[in-house]
Amino acid sequence: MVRTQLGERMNDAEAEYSWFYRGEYPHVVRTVFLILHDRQRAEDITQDAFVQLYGHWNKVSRYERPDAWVRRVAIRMAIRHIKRERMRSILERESSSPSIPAAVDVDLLGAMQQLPVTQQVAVVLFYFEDRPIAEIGHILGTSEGAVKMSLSRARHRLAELLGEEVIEDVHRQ
Amino acid sequence: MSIDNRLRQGFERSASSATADLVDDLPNALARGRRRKRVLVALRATVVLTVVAIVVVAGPRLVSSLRTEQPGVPNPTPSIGTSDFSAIAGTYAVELTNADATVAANRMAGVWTIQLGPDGAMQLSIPGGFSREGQTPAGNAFTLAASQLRTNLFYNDFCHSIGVYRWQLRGTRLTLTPLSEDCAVRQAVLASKPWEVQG
Repeated sequence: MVRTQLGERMNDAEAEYSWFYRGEYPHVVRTVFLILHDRQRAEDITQDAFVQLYGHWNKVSRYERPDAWVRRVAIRMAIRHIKRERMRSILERESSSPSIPAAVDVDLLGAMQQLPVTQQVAVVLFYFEDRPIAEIGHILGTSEGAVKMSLSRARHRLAELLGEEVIEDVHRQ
Repeated sequence: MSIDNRLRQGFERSASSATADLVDDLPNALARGRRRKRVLVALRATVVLTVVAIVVVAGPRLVSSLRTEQPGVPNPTPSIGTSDFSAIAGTYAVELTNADATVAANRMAGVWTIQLGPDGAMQLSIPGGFSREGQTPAGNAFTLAASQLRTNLFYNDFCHSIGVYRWQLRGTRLTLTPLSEDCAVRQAVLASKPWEVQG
């Protein structure tokens, strides 16, 4: 048993989990925020993903990439959330006001919302998280070819919406 | 600016605004994780206990009913032989005693009566004490082929095969000698002793 900076008593597994949490949680929140464009919702979903991780920590902590596991869970939750939200009526969506901080690139996030959700996720994972194509495919449960296709379409669509130019194709692994 | 640079810079700037509050969030995650784990453990324990209870309470009944009923498996008819059963038709009786181990083990001691019809039908009356007393035994047919008698008596009840016997009627005595039989109960009834013609 150890005592943490937060004054809690916890066993070794919990101490390890807390250490992992401190390192990864902020990154996952940011990624999910870029997908949802709602900071509060991003924190809630990331929390839920880490709560799930706690339940599987003994197993997942032995994985080569525990961060990939929790990121995949959080992103899939975010995708489900977006799909649920899109099912709601336009009136309900307009009445809701997600908490978007002032510092964000509003045009970019607005353009992102024009994309299908899988393209949004692929773009965030590729450009923000700098994840390889194969890993993005694993997270989305799709092939590398499909990820490349999504990225290519998303880049062209975003370039069109934001008035930017497409210089090269995406073929980075 | 290229779209790639715009995306990288835009995401970096936007993400920096989403700062997480670790001081509050970590204890919350730990508390919720512990609670969720306790609920899952309790749920698993409940499921296991329920399954165990079902197996303990209902298992023996289910096994017993499967052994006694075995629905869906019809009594096979003994293979076709002669249609002339007149040579053997009649009512016979035998008294089994506990001298035979199978008879004693299955509480089969007593007077058994068998009626072999001229149409190949077989009726057996069961003595008191036997576990099937008062019930109609499964299997109720026999066929003859030369000196062989084939029967499905007790099929699905105690037996799972057709029994084949050599039959011999001398005077008032019908003797059945097993030729192919893997059912001890049926053999004990039919072949422990010669049967005596009744009436």
